Amino acid sequence: MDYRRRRLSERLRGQLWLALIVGLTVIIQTTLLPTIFNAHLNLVLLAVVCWTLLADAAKGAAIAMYGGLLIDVVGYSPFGSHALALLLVTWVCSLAAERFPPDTWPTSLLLTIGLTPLYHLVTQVFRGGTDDWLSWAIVVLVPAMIINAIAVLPTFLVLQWWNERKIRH
Amino acid sequence: MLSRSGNAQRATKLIVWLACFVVVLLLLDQQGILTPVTDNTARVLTPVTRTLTNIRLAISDTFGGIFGSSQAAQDLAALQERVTELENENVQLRSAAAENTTLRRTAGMRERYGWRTVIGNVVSRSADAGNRVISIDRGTVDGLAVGMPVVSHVNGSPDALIGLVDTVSQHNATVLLITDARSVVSGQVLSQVTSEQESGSISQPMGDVLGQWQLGSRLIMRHIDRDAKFSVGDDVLTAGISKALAFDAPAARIPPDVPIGRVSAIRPDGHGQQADIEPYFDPDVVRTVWIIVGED
Repeated sequence: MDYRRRRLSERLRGQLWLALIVGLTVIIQTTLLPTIFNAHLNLVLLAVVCWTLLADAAKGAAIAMYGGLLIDVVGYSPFGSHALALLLVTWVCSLAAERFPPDTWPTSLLLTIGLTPLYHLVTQVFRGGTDDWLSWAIVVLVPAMIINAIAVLPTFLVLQWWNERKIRH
Repeated sequence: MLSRSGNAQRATKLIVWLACFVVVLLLLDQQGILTPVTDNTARVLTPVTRTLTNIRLAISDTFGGIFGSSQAAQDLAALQERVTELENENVQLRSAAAENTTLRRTAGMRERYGWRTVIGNVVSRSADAGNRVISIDRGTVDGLAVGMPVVSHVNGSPDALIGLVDTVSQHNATVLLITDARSVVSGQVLSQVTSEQESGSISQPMGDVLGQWQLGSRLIMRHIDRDAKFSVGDDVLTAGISKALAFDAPAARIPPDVPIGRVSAIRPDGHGQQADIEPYFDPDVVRTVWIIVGED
């Protein structure tokens, strides 16, 4: 009984830490990160992709939930819209992790390039869509895909190092 | 491999459960049940996000001026301040001439334009690239309501419309920037008054100003009369059509004659004309905003 309680308390503490780190990431993303060539770097999306591949889908889903809900609070978008988009990203990543080597950077790069449009499509649908999807894809999607693809490599390597360090301990 | 497959099945189950939970949250949010929770959370975060946003903007200011000497930068700032004053006077003078109204030109926005304003700070911007929205630290307690116009200025520009209040809570609000594709505002071109216009044979060019950021541009003005005469470089102001017609719609809060930008290109558009509008400045870079809550 005592062991169970301790385990539960440890898990809760772990979730609290995760929520705190993801919260900080969202705040950095919405305030400090500059716009580069009209594109915003999506740190939460990168964390979801990399962590689902490196750890497991449950952790990725937790990041998607905490990050998505906080993005909606800070950005005043429909509460749950970003979480739903990120959960979809987590699900596709977990399926991809079955078929491709999950702990290699090419998988994370390909998934980031492929899932950035999915994420933006879902959030755009919640915003009411657009009349000109082609122009939207050129102006919004392509820069977002490029900037996320550039940033996923260092993100993946840092999280891989952190994950390995955690396993060793 | 088997273990991975089992993991994926468990993950799918977990994600489906979480997605169902999120859908419930979305429905509750639509009913407004979660509004107090989200508003209070945003309010708690406001001091942090406002500080960090100011740091980002200060850094971009520094890097923007890093290539000039400090004296040159000071001179430039003073000149830009003077240009702002002159631009304000210029736009207002021409507006007054066109409308034959009394010129109200003294220091201060209220006296100059007759706007009653509430000052606010930019807290954060949208978390992804898909929309042009900023959040500000003013809400219903400060007198804000959906549809109120938000103006600002940067060095060397007149006080210009940057967006409209999109959502508002007790202490915070979001502003949909005029460059966002969802933004539509009625506008009028402040063309050089011609003799024909003075005699009333041609109407002041009017049209809808639409945001175009997601479509690769900034602003366009559509549905302009085919016979309307105006040229590149003319100022574009709000028309305040909804207000004049006393519609009970959020857009009816936009007064006429709020500067928007300048005409940068003109081309035919079906039976009418279309103009590209260049905003006076990028609404993304503003730190302080003024929300027009009423007029004198």
